[in-house]
Formats: sequence, structure tokens, C-alpha cells
Amino acid sequence: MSAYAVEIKNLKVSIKGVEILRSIDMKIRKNTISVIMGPSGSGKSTLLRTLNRLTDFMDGIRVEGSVFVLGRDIFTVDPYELRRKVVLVSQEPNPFPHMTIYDNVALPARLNGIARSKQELNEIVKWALEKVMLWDEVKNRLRDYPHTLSGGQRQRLCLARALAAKPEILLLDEPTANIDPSNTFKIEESLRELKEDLTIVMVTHMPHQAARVADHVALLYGGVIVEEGPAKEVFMNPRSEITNNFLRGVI
Amino acid sequence: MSLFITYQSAPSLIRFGVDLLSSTVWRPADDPELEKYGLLAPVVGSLYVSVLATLITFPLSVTLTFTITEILHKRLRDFLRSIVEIMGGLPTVVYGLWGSTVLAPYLRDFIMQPLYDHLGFIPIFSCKPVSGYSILTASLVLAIASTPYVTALLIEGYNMIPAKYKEGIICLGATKYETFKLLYGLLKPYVIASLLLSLSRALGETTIVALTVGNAMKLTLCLFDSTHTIPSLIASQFESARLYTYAMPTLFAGGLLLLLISLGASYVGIKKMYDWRSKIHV
Amino acid sequence: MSRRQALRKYKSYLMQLLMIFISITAVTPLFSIFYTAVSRGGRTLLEAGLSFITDLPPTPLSTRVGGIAPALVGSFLATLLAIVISVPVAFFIAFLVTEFPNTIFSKSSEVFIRSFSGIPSIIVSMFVYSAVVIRMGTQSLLAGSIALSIVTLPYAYVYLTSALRSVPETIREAAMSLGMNRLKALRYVYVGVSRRYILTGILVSYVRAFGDTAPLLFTIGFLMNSVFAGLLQPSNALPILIFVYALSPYEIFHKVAWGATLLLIIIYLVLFLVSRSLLRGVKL
Repeated sequence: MSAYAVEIKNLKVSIKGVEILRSIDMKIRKNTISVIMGPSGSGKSTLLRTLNRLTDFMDGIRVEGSVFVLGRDIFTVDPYELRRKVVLVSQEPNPFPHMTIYDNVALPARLNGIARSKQELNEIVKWALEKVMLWDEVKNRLRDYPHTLSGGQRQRLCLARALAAKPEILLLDEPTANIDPSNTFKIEESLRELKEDLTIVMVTHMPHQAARVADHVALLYGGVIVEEGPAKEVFMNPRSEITNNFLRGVI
Repeated sequence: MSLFITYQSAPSLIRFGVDLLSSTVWRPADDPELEKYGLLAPVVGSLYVSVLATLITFPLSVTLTFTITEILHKRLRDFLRSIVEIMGGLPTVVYGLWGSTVLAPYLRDFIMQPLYDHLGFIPIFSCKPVSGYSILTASLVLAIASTPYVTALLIEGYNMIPAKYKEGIICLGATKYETFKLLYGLLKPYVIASLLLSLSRALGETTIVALTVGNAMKLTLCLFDSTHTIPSLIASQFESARLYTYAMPTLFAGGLLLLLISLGASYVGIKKMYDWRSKIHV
Repeated sequence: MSRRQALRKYKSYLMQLLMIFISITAVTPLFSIFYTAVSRGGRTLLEAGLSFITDLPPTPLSTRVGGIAPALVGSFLATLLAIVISVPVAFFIAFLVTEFPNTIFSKSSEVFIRSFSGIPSIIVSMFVYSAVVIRMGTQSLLAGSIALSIVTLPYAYVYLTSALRSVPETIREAAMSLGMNRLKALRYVYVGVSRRYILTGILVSYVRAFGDTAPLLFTIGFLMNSVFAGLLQPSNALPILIFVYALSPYEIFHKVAWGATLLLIIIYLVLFLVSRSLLRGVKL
């Protein structure tokens, strides 16, 4: 078994002829928080979505190169199988409005058959909601619907739902982009705890967030990885001018 | 609203106020002075045929919707879509003629007769199929003709679902079928609304029904039996109704009732649609 | 892959297959209809030849198939007249509603016209019968056209409002800033920009009206012994003819009905294809 959760070699992605990712090489270790940062439009989301083959659904997309996740080539395995192990949380909170809070979180556990009894299901839901620090806020209204929650709570709910799927890799697309500071803080706290159980790959355009949570960081700019390395190093001694500019908020 | 049209029918209703009382009777005999009409059979017939047709349309249109939007690839998808569009605009008289000449005999011999022979003890199968013109035939043809309409509505509804929900369920590793189940859950109120609109249209449908339902003034719940619906009654009796005093107003009264139920159903349907549309974009 | 996951996967495939099967079943009737129309109707057309379009209908006991000329003429004319009546009205209202969307007139028009489309067409027929036919003393081409136009109005209206609304805001601004008043802008600019859309709308309305039976049922009459008797005299229509003959017990009438149906289907498909290709050229 590979020590790496994700290995990307020479990945090129273009959509309708436009090159989004030029040549990406990247290795992500297990049980770490890796952050891919960069200005808007640099291809971060596309890179993330390649990892769980959400790119299959994009019109006019061309993908070249190799991506190995958990030791296997993602283009040869069953995509649905892949997406069970590699779960993505979208930028915009998307709890299913016609299902209760409980049912939202329970959904992946039910689908995957992780829980074998009602009791086990209850436990998973509780565990997931506790991990995102939402349990105390909703424990008395699990039968309520998501629209009664605030935006930040909804995003945490989506995170809990993803956790209930017991993924091996968690992909986060700008998880706190639309969230207020206190919720952001809670989510970042949760992530630090979670890396014991799984590998986290996160995308953000806020350098400060990257500084707060990342073990490993990569700067994506103009379709290539301009700089990468352990977080401390990159932030203390950036080697590239572009990194500098990004950290100072110029680009 | 269209009280304008109601106004025209109303005088006929008032002229024959007695009819409201005798509506519980289903013996229409058009002797001149001894005329007695009861619209119970056509009213029940209308509701029975339309509701049954809508129930049949339900699974067909939902399946078509998902097949078109999710399962098929571009070429097949466009092809199927075109076929559904063609079916949607095909004149109803064509459906009716086909229903009466092709489907009715086939149903009678291969579906109704065997069911009557083997399962005749069940009330809805308990009458002997004679001509093939029956509630079952009418509902079936009506359903076939209504499915394109509902499918078009459902596809519209499907496209209104924000993409983030589709992404959400896929990212959790759901299979295609599990995705359908979730999308259907999101669409459910809209589906019901569309079916209500279809019901409204089915109630007013004349041509198909007049050609397939048997046009018999008979109150029955057996699927294989002929009966009347309000439009089929109007279509078959209108000409001769001119000769009698109270026949015409009775037909108008039936028409008025039809109008009210039909508009009621479509009003509820449209309102439900608006409600859903605002909720789905939360 | 664990056994459970494999099960999920196969269940999904199975369900998809089932759904495809059901979908095919739902559209099979169309092919049955076409097949029957071609075989039975084709037989009739071959028997009658070109005279099917020019001759008068047969009597119940005749052996010659005859023709459906009165119905064809009646259909084309009645539909044309219906469009001539309803489209300008729909267009006028559509124009006012899109230009002045916030007036009471506009809001109530929307509701009024949309509720029109919920009225069963047989009721429209009854209405026109009592309002027009009784007053005129006879069924007529005119009465039929009026009934058809009432039924067509909401559809034309919806299409035309879409067409007018599809005019991009930038073009509207351009027209206004050139000093045109709304009417001039309409004539010179908007119609030109959305003309394909409008034409398609008119065509689609025509197709709908052509195939509609119920509105004509009590209004247009059933002319059999001449091809055309005048605007204020009874006439005939293709769907009506098919309907009446289908209900009759005579074999010869059934033959004619199928022949007429084949023609109706052909006309329908041609108009359908034309409107489709028009729509493809629409750039919004």
C-alpha cells in the first residue's frame, strides 16, 4: 500500500479547448491536511474535482496524465466506488431541503450500509455532528429541516453528512467561503481533529486560512503548481515571487 | 376569471334547477314533457376515467423524464425527446381512432377477457367485456396521449433543480438509480402539481373518450364496462338535445360542473408549482 | 468491491434497464399508430387515388371511396381564419404586456388569458354554439373559426410573449435611445429580431388548431355535398370528419376515416418539421 493518498503525475485538463491545468505533479500523504491555494480561476476547483472524477460530467472536458488515489488509477476503477471513498463537499452548502437534518446526515450511512441497525445509525449521526461541533446546536431538533439552520450551520451539516460516509479522503472546495468567522473557526477546528481518521485535501483562495490549517501547501497559479512544500516553509520562506505576491494579497 | 363563459352557461343551469336534485339519479330518458335527467353516471365516469388515466401517466412520465435527462446519451436522448414531442402534438382524434379500431379489440381479447375469466370475482373485473369500448380502454388511450405533456412539464421541473443538489448526491457516492430517488424526492410536489394539471386536461378531453368509452348511460365501476363521461355525453347528445326542452340545459349544467372541477384542479396545480419553484431555490 | 457495493451497482443497472424498457413501451403506441395509418389509410388512398383530395365523401352504402375535399378545404380555411383572428389579438396583448408589465391591465390579462387555456375545448364549442350559431340560425365556417380562435388564443399569446421577451435588453435600449417610440420600435426592430420565434409561434398555433376537434364539433357543421358553400354556411374539417366517420358503423366510412387520418398525420408531421427547423435557426 502506497504511503501516499494521492499521486498526480503530469495531469493536463482542458475544457472546450481551453487549458485549465497545464502540467500538475503532486503527492499527498495520508492523514495530512493539504491545501491547494491560489487566486480565483486558477483551476483549483477543477483539480479537486478531478480527484473524484466529478469531471466526468463536464461538457467538453479532456483529461490527460495519471492520477492515483489510494494506490489505484482512478480512471480504471468504478467511478461510483471512487466517490464513496473520496467524498467532496461543495462550496455552496447543499443540504437536501426535503429531508430532515437527521436524514441528511444519515443518508450516506444508509446508502453505504455502514450502519446495520437503527442504533448504529443514531450513533453515526451523533458522531458526525459532534465532529463538526453541530451536535449541541441541533440535538433537540433533528427532525427539523435544513432551512431552519443558518448558512454556517448548513455548511457544517454538509460536512457532517460527508463524514457519515466514512470516506478515506475528504475533498473540500472553499469550505468557509460563504461562512461567518465563528463558523469558520469551528470548521477549521474540526478539520484539525479529523486528519487522524482521514486525509484532507482542501482548496482555498484565502492564504490566511491555509496558514492556519495546512500541513502541506501548494500554490496553483496559471494552471501550474508554482510552489509547494510543508506549510511552515512556504509561508516563512516562499521561494517564488508569485507566492510572495499571493501571500501579500496582490494577486 | 372566465366567469364570462360561465355566465353563458349559467342561464341554462337556472332554467333547469331541478336537475341539481335529480343528479343523484342516473336514469336519463328524454321523453318531451316527462323528461328526466340525472348526470351521476357521466360525472362518476369522468372522474373515474380521468383519475385512472392520470395514475397510469404518473409512472410513464416520471420514467421517461429520467430516461431522457439522465440515462441516455446525446443522440438517443434527442431522438426520444423528439418522439415524445411528436406524440404530444398529435391530434387527439388520431389517438381516438386508433384506440377504437386497434387497441379496443386487442384489449378485449387479450387482457379483458382473460381477466374476466380468471379474476372475475374482483369487482372491477366483474363484467363481461363486450365491445372493448370501456373505462379501461379510454383511460389507457388518454394516458398515452397525456404522457408527453406531463413529461415535458417534468423535464422543465428537473432543469429547475439547482445543480448543487445533483452534485451533492453524486459526491456521496450514490449510484445513478439512487440519484434518481433523491431527485424524485426533490421533485415530488412538482410531480403532483403536474399530474393535477394533466387531470384537468383529461377531464375536458372529448375526442379520445367519445371514441373509446362506449357512450353508454350506465353507472358502473367495472373497468371493462362502457359508460359516459361528461364530454362524451355532450358530444353524443348535443345534436339531438336541440329537440327537447330540458336536454340542452342539462348538458350545459354538466359542462359547468366540468368547468368548475377542471379549473379547480388546474388552479391547485399551478399554485403548487409556484410554491415549489420558490422553495427549491432556497 | 464488497458484496453490498456490487449489489448496489447491479441494482442501479437493472433499474436503468427497466426504465429504458418502460420508456420504450410508453412511446410504442406512436409506431403502432403510424403503422396502422399507413397500412389502412394507405390502402384507402391507393384505392381512391388523387381524387381523394378532390372528391366528395361517399354515401354509407356506396362502394367508391370518394374523397374528403370539403373537409380539407374547411380545415385549411377555418384554421387560417382562426389564426387571422387570434394571432393579431394575442400579439397586441403580448406587446402591451411586455412593454408595460406593471399595469393592472397587464397583470389581469396574464391571469385571464392563462385561465383560458384551462377551459375544456368542448365548453368553448358549446359557448360559441349558443352565442353565434343560434343567432345566425346555422352552423358555419365562421362559427368554427371563432371557436378555434378562442382555443388558439392562449397558446399564441404564450408563444408571442416569449418571443417578445426574448428580445435582448440591449436592443431595446438601443431602439429607445434612437428616439423611437414603442410602436415604431416594435415595427422596425423587435419584430425583426424575433421574427423566427414569432413565425414558429404562429406555425405551432396553426398546427394545434388544425388538429383540434372539439371546438368545431357543434359549430362548423358537416358539409358533404359540396366542397365549399361560403363563409356563413356549414363547412367541414378533417378531424371532425374522422371523428364522425369513426363513430359510424359503416365500413366505407371507416376506410375514409383512415385515409383521412393518414393525410392528417402527414400534414401534421410536415408542419411539425418545418416549425422545428425554423426554431433551430433562432439565435437568442
